[in-house]
Amino acid sequence: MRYWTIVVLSLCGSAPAFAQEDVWAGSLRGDYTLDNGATLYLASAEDDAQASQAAAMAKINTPAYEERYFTANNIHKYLGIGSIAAAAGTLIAPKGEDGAHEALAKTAAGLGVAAIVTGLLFHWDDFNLSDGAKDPDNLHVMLTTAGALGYLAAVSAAPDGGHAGFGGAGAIAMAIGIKLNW
Amino acid sequence: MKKQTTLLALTTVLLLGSIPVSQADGGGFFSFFSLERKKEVAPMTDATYNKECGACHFPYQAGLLPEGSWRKLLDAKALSDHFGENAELDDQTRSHILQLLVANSADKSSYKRSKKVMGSLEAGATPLRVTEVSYIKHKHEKVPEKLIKQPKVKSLSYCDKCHMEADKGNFDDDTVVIPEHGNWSW
Repeated sequence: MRYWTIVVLSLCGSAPAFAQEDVWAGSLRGDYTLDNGATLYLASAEDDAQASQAAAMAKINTPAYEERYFTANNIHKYLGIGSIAAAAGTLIAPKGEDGAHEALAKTAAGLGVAAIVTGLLFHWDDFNLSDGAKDPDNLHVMLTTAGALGYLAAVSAAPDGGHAGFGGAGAIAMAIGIKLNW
Repeated sequence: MKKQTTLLALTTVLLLGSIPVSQADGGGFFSFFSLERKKEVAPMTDATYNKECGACHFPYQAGLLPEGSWRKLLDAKALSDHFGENAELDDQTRSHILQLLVANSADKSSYKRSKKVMGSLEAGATPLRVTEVSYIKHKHEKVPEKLIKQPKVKSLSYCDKCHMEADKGNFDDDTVVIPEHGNWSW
């Protein structure tokens, strides 16, 4: 019962986090350049009809933009969050070799390592050790790397006693690291 | 062994738990655990600011510059020659906008990009243009000049020409669509 409560609460908690990408206030763009080079100043238009006509024309000439769900950044994000979900699954799955516990633990480690690799590939320019340990990106790198190492240490130490400490510490480090860049 | 595991987990929790404390802003320790996204810069939702400043240019988020910059820019005398234009405001409006910008300036913000802006500035620096901030310059280094200077963009000052969610304070590179080029990142 306790496990189901944790799962339900985690799922409920994650919903507003993802929904926030779409709940920002309405948009207001300053001006738009038309194909002929003319600039439309929407906010300064005095007449409502003129403003809506200008908005319609601007829409035609503004590059098409649709939110994309499978971008490099998002894939990196999904891998990191997926590793935490798998680690949480490991915690609640029945213990034992060749079972769900082991499979989920290895999944968490794999996703964690993949998150680190994609982070290094896609965000190489975003962090620099010279910016210091208080830089949010440096902290993110350090903690999430520690998280993935924790997962690997847990998988490698299992089934000996004590591996849960590595796994748990890894999941916490990963979660805090992701939250710093959330 | 069980004792060692507990000790390891406890030590780790305490060590990692100290990081949000060291990072804590005005929101305090528990604000760290909020699900609100703070990866970008705080959006500007004030109607007066968006109307007055957005009438002539992109209404830059307060979190893109430190307090000192906004104080210089919103000085009554400075507004009469605002980058070559007369942008004078009545005292009440100017005071309202200044308070808004100061309260949400980069040095007071807990949003990640505002922290990056502050981290890239020399102590006490007060750049007057967002494009003079080292972090923002660095982020645009790889964009070819011909894409920036094309008629549909003109310069880096026109954030919303390429950053499709700039008005929401989102400058993530996967929201960048450059005219005559397309998506900046995959």
